[in-house]
Amino acid sequence: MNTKKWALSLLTAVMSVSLISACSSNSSNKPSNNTGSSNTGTNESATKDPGTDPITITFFDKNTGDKFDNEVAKEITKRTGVTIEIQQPTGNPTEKLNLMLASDDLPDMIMFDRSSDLVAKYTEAGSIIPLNELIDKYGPDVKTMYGDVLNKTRYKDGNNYYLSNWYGLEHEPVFGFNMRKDIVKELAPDKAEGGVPFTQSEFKQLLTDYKAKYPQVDGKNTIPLIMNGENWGGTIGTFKGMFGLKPYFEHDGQLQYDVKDPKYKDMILYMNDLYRSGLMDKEWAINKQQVWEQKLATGNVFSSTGAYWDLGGANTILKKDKGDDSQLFAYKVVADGVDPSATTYGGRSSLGWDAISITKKNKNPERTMQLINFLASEEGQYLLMWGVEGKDWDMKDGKHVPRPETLESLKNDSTNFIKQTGIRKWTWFIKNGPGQDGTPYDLVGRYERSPIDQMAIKNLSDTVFDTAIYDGLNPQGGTPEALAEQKINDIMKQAITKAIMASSADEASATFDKMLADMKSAGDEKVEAVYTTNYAARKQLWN
Amino acid sequence: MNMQTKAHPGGSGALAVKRKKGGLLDRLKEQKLLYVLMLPAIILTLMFSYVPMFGLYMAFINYQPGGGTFFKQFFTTDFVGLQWFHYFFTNGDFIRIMRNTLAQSFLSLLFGFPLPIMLALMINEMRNGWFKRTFQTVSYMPHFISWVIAANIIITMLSSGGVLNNILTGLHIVNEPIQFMQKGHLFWWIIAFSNAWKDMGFNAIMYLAAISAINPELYEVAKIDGASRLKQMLHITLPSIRPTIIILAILAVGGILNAGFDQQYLLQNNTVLEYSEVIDTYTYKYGLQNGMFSYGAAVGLFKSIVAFLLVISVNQLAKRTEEQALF
Repeated sequence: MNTKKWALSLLTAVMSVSLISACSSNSSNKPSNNTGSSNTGTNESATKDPGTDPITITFFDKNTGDKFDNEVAKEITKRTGVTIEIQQPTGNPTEKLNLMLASDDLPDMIMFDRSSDLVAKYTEAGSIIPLNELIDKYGPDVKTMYGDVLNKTRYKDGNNYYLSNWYGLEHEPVFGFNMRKDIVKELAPDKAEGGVPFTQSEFKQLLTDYKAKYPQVDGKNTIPLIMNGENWGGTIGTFKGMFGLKPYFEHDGQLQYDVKDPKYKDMILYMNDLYRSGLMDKEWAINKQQVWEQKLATGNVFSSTGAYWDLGGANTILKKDKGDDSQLFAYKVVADGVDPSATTYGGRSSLGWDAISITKKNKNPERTMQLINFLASEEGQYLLMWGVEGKDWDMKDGKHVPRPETLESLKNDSTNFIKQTGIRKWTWFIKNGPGQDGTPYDLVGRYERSPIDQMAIKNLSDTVFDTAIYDGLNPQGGTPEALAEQKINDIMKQAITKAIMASSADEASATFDKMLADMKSAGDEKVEAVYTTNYAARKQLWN
Repeated sequence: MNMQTKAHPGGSGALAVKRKKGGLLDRLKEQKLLYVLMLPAIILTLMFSYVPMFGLYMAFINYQPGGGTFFKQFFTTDFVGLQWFHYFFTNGDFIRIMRNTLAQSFLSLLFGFPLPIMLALMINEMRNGWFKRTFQTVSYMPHFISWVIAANIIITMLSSGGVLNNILTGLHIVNEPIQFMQKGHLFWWIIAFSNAWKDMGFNAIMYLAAISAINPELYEVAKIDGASRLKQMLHITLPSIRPTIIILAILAVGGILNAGFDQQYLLQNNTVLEYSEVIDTYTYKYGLQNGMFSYGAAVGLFKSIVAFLLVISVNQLAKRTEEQALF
């Protein structure tokens, strides 16, 4: 009735809402502002004289968002005076890294995926600083530990913009066909203990035998071979390993998409054959990580693709429910016409997984480099990976010896133990392999090997190859080639999935051929030209 | 506000009375107090709805993040004109994505629009107060389930060992379980049904509110005239909520390019990508996941323009035919 009153009350409501929202946004901004200013305050005094005055460094580690407050963290602060503030990487770190770059809202240090194009983007934008001078001045240990890796991780302008972790080529397997050992013992007893690879037809026979002998377990249909649809790299990577395929198809000095390798089509047809024979999980393409793990753990699956450590969760359950031999162990399957030693299950980069950089926002590059130098040194490595000396391990006769209770806790309750002690929690500047006394840097992963690890090492160690030269050859973001590359990736993923699940071999073959034609019309040659150019430049830089 | 004043044309409020002849300035002066009160709202709208539109410029440059501040970048990167739009229209994605977006929206509207109206009418006819309230609460519960959970429920239900396949094979309607999630042409229907299921109850609330505002005397008069309950529903309830239906229809058509994001993103897999990709998932994939901000912005801008045109034209249409419009 009374429009004026009504209008006034509405406006008041709007006003109060706007006030409230303004207030709340203020308060949410406050903490970050405060830390920012207190940072710069302490920083200024520190830059003048590098030492061990307490400073705080913000760090975006794509792998962890945990607080820097465990035993190892405290020890690092004690030794270097540096407190690290870990920033939340959120669900999709790549997305956040893109946004951070766009908004210029950078932490002091960043850790990204080495092979992603983000490193190049950040470098091009000048958001991360060259480290050469700093390493020369403050990083003697970095130099000795990294050695030639420093030379190979240079950007095309000849400068080092990042230091990697998990660097140094290790003869540690990655992918493989993981099979239930008790079933292999039953159906192919001579190969159960490993050492002898399966041929293409033997593997199919094994799957068929399993299906024939155990059509159902606990009233549920069995699945001879399962694949994780979410882990495209692991699924296709395993089969690529079997056929000895590399990340790119290389011939006459040119790099082409891997699908152009004639063997790739053989691989698709083989996979399609398994699918049509009812040996492959019909729903593999929609299997999400959890579903895949859950199906494995119920015990009606014989084998799976992927890296042996990915099956850890499922294996723990199988071990508890059925026994040691019911776990999935990694075996090698060799395609026809491929030399068993030429299989490529284990693509590993000798230059590391991740890249750690100092940003231009960092007010204490010298102090940061001192910290890096400490962490990268042998002493720092044992602190990060083994824990605190005298607490988690001791030095006996010049050798690092872990305390029995440390090993015991790692075995029984590793998640909590790692969280509390900080052992292997901060995987920064980690080097692969053993230290000077012969003990491995990686206490958790390499000191005592489980039977599953040992089987994988026995069967697949010779399949390891170095991918370093192929990493990150992609076209630069924002170029037409980058758009075309994305589109081609979409085409490949769809078509390959479809071809594997085609209802006849002819259909699979036709789908595959159509994919090649579609890729061509999407401009694959231009993208390949970029790969080849980058590849040549990389080779030149390394020599 | 317009809607309100139009709905009560006889309203003799102070505003209406004061609207004498005179220049715009006179009127502004006269109502200056009201404008002062409105100022925060105006500022808010400007700040959060209009100023960010500056970012649309990104669609016309080759924006590469980094270097300087966000705004500085805008002037240092190359101006590429309509290159991104050209690429979007010519690379073959456009037709596929528009087809998916429109098909999914249309099917969702087909089920999602009439169902809440029917549900509201049915709830309205319920007599038992306790049962009515419970039923209503249960019916809008799915709206509050996050899509992440809903998508997993749907995928599980439709899997080869899921409820639906168990029923179908159990009744011997099919021999082999149907791989629902891997059939591209079924994806649109799955989206439409799950949208309808999720939002039906919640959308009915708006109609129920409109129904409760109907003058009960109308029903009493109709009863005396001997109208059955069905007749009352068709000739009193429905015409009375017609304005609400039209307004919501306008809004729905305006959002036809908003086929959704969460549901497609969570339900899709490589086998159905051909049918599942809609504008929003496409923009997300290129813009954020791959950091091609300019291309993402161009596709997003295209969507906004089409949505804007749609709202305007539907609104005009409604004005002409029904004398009832949003603005």
